[in-house]
Amino acid sequence: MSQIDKKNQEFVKTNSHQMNSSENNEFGYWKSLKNISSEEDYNRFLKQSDHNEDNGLSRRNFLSLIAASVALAGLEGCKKPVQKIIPYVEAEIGTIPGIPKYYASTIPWKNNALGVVIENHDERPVKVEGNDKHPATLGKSNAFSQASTIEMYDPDRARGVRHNGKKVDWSEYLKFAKDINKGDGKGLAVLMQESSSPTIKSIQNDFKKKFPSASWVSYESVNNENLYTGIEKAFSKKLQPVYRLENAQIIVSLGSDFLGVDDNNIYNTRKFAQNRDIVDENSTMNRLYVAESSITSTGSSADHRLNIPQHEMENILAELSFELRQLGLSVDANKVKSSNNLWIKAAAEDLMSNRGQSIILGGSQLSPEFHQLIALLNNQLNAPVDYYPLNLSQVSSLNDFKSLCDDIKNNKIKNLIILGANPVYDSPADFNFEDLLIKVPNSVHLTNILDETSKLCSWNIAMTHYFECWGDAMSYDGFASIVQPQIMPLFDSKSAIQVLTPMVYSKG
Amino acid sequence: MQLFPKWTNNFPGIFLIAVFLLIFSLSSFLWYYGSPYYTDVGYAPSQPVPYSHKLHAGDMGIDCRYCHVGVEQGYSAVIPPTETCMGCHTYVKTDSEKLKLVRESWETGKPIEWIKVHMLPEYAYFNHSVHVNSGVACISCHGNVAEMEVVYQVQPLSMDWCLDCHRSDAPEVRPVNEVTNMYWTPPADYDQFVSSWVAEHGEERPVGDCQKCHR
Repeated sequence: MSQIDKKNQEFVKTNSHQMNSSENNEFGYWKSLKNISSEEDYNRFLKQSDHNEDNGLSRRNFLSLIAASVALAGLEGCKKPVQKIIPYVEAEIGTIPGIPKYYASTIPWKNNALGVVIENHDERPVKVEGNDKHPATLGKSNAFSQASTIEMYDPDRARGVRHNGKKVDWSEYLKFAKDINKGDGKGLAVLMQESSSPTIKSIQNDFKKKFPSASWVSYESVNNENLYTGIEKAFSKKLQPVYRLENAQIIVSLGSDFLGVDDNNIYNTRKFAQNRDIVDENSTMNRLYVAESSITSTGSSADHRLNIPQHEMENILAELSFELRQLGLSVDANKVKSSNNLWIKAAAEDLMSNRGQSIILGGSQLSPEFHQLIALLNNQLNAPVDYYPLNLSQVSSLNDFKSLCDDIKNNKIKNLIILGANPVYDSPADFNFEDLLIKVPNSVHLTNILDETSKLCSWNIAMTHYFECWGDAMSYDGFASIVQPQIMPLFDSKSAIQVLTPMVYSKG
Repeated sequence: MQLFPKWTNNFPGIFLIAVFLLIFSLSSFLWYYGSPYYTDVGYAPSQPVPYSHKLHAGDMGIDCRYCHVGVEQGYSAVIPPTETCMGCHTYVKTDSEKLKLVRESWETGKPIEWIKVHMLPEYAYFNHSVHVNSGVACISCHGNVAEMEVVYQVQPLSMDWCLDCHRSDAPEVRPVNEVTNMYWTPPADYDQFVSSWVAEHGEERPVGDCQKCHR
């Protein structure tokens, strides 16, 4: 043993006492488990943790095995893998692997239709873009259409048919539907989302003929009902306004997010942008006034933005009407109010000096009276807005929904068919729809995902995505478009048309 | 005082051996990974169905594009679907033992798993249609397939090999209608053809921009 080693051992010996005992440690801290536990405990711990042979595999051995296997796994990369080419057995005619195919289709969006072109790779839809030949999208798309493929491939989608929680065959539902078909429709109700499908409309007409006492309710939590009611008050007819913003030089938006979340936002954005292009010295640019309570895409595009609380909105309109009346427009005197707001004065002057090329838009959350006044003002301003009949669409009606709730409350509804909506989650809390739904003996929920409403319904039917089935829809200005399937249904699922037809049309 | 223990006397020897080993391993590394062996030249895996290109393309003279339909339009030349085989073999050699798997595939709908011979790395972009439509012949990269009983890799398919042709003043090109011809002989005025080809395609031919292939 060398001298150095000896010295080292001495050092350890002299200091080991101090290291071991915590009493000698005047600061009361400890450096290792040895300091705070008895020798016996410590030895037992050592034995258990590192050298326990009973365990079969000690921690150290385990770690070294893991390390070795990770190191050896790297060797796997040294050889080239055998790659395989797996061709079709029967190729689709015209399919060249790697070359996408494009199919035109339509996204039914509430009571609007968004024409899209869908890129298919190996017969699978992967990307959605607007169809430039479709009047409602003009070649562009929005966030919702972009996300629609994700919705289709969602692994959480509902699958198959369930009755009282158990998976059953579709034929079971057909039996149930046939029983309804035999009856006179007493106690039958259909609750569906907004839609502009002519097929659904014709089924609805036949439904009403076949089951005169049954009810058909359309309800969507986010809807344009106030707008339609306001227009009905103004023109005594429910109409769908389509804003021709390409002809508008002055646009005043009172809480309307027509470029952002509006159902026709793609069309509106295209047409709005058309008038903001400066191509040469003769080009003009439109001017956008926005009064709103929160920042929206529309507000951020505004030339003049007025930040006001929502409850002030009606005052703003009253003040705007006053200014317009001062400038010569005939407005009911009860609805006006003077103001000193320069923003309103400027907007009113612009609106008047560009009559025929100026328009006022109101947000869907505002009251029907508000929309009535806007419709009348637009009419007098000769605004570039076209009105189209709404009678072919299923549009939301709170009154219908209310009477449905009353019927359920009075135990009048025996069979309730809910198509696509999730009213337990999104209907107004005052209706307490959750408690009502439990009272319905037979409830059918057609849904793309098992949600709050599905839990309380006796029948759950998985809904096909609009990329998986045939269908139709109409745009706001009445262009009928076909929904063309891109792919066979990924899961066992049915469309609203498939759920309704066996009920309405008897098959012997 | 002896600062180093005695065994450190061996250090110079160990150092020499280490240097020798390093040089040896480095050179063998380069020798192996730079060789055609590593680039898979001659890789000739046996396919699940012993399909003979020599018989079909050579003796019978079926055009490449009869089966490899994607070659003029797509990135990939495409291995034909079972359907294409059955187009003839419903009538020809209907009970051949070699075609058992093809018939099985046709009946069960289960595709035949062919083994890929010409493998390019995923990070290299390659488009068959661009090459074929500008007059790069099949034979230039795949060799004379019409004489192969079993398809094997003829060219190294390395980046260096790609660039040899891409940067060349006299690339291996021919008239577009002759690309599938395995026995084409250059005409007398071939030099003139090549120089006019280069003049025509010079702009679009990637010669060294990284992102043209490594997108």
